[in-house]
Amino acid sequence: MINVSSVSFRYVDQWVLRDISFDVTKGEFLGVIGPNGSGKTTLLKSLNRILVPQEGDVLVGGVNVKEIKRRELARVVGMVPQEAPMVFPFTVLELVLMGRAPYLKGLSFEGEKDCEIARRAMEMTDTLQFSKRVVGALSGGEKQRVLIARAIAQEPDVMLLDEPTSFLDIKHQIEIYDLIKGLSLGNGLTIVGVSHDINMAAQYCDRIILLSNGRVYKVGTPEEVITWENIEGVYGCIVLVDKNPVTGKPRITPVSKDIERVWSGS
Amino acid sequence: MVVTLRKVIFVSLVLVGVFVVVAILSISLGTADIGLMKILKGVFAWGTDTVGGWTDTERVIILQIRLPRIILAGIVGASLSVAGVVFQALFRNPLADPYVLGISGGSAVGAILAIILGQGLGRFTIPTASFCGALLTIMLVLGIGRSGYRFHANTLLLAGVVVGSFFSAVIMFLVSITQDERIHSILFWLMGDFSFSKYNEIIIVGPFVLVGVIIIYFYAHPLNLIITGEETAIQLGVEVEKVKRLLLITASLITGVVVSVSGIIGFVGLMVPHMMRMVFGSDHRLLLPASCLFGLSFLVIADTIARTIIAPMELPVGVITAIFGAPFFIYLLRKRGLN
Repeated sequence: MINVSSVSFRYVDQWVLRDISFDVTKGEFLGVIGPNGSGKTTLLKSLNRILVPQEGDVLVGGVNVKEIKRRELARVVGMVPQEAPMVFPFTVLELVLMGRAPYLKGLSFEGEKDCEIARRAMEMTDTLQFSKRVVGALSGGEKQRVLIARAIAQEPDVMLLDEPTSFLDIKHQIEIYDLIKGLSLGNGLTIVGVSHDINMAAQYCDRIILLSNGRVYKVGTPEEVITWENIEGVYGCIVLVDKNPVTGKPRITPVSKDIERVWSGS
Repeated sequence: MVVTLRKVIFVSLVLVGVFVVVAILSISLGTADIGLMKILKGVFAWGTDTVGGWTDTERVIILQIRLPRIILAGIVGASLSVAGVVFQALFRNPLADPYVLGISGGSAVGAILAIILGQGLGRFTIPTASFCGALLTIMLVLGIGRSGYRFHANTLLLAGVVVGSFFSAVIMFLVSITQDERIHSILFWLMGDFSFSKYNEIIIVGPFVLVGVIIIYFYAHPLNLIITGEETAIQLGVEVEKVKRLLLITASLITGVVVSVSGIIGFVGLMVPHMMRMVFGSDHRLLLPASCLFGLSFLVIADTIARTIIAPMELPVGVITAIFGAPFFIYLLRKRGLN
């Protein structure tokens, strides 16, 4: 579904992505992890041409994203931003209906079909009950579900998520990941999600890309990528990796480097 | 709840109705008192020889003095309101407005320079100079307020205020070196004044504003997407940079041309969009026509107050809008700061 070949990107004179290549198959849930500044978000934004890499190509469904109109691309690739500024009041329904923008022609209004699609998207994300409320008044988890509903209303084949759970507590984190996983399993949606939470990525993703300084350090199944050698090599901190007793997937625990001094009291 | 074409048409018709009522009331008010019934009779008897029993003096007052003044004030109010909506959306800041951003000041400098240096392009000289002033200002403010790739809403606002006060100084300078009897009218014009409104000003300004507003309205839906974040708008299919450039130029154009006939009238573009947003929500497909049409009535009301409150003397309408607008700005600032 997605083919990334030798993509390099720089802001002014600093290379942020260097020679990145990987493929994502249809219906797969791919996680992108890496330390701060390793290029995760830049990579995500290169996939739908929010950023245009100076070198290399991104193909979605076999089509080079540079060569199609933004509106057409928006029908294939949807994105859930990390956060949405809500300076002006929109209701949940209005915001979800914005997902229909790539299908609206010029100056026009959403029709019954669009409202029906938005309603279904809100049902799937359990946001229908506050469709008339103002988005700004919702909690972080609710707001994030609304943003996902908007991306669903876009009816894309690929959904990109930029740290969708970074401001949420663990209950809402699990809910969001369950929702995303359901979209990939039940609807065949291809998902690429940036995550700062290695454990969440390990539990939910089919495959993981570990980025380091703008390069692919390792790509593979969670078992292949989440090893203490890889994590310590990239993040530069000591971790303990064992198996999650429920899922059997790898689980990491960061450990203090200065264990004697910090824990001397206990 | 969701905005539909039907709702837009309905709201527009209601607001046009409001404007007609406001206009008729405004015509009847003034130093020379003309009864409401008399005006209505005249309107309904249009085309007949008697014209509803208006005397010649009344005819002149109604048709040559008050009516052009109302139409021009309406055009200016509509234009500043639409420009306000656009600037607020593009900068994602409810405090943005042609006056606060210094754009009105920049247009005024352009206009005054044209008055002093002469009329190279005939009657289009002043509007053209005014538009250029507006465009240069917006580029200047964007240049100052931008850091790297993105601009910060508050820095931008501060940049606008600073550029605005710089232009005030330039205006004062130009006024003090202008040694002839036009100083008084320049000063009055600067504060925002409609007392010399003529039909030919309407003919110059009206088409620009109309075309500008129509162009802007075609981008009503992209504006909705842009206020939820530029990257969101891009990923939903909007060519954000292209739309932004076009709309900044168009909003500067409609600001510049109206400043060239009305002078600096502050805070209209701040108050009208905010009131409309409270009533109708943030969807620009409804917000733009509502602000445009309510802007008509708003400035006519302000101008009617300006010319009647200390009759037989007149206040510049800019004084009235500032007296209400400045506290309103502080209210918005406080409300936003506390959130």
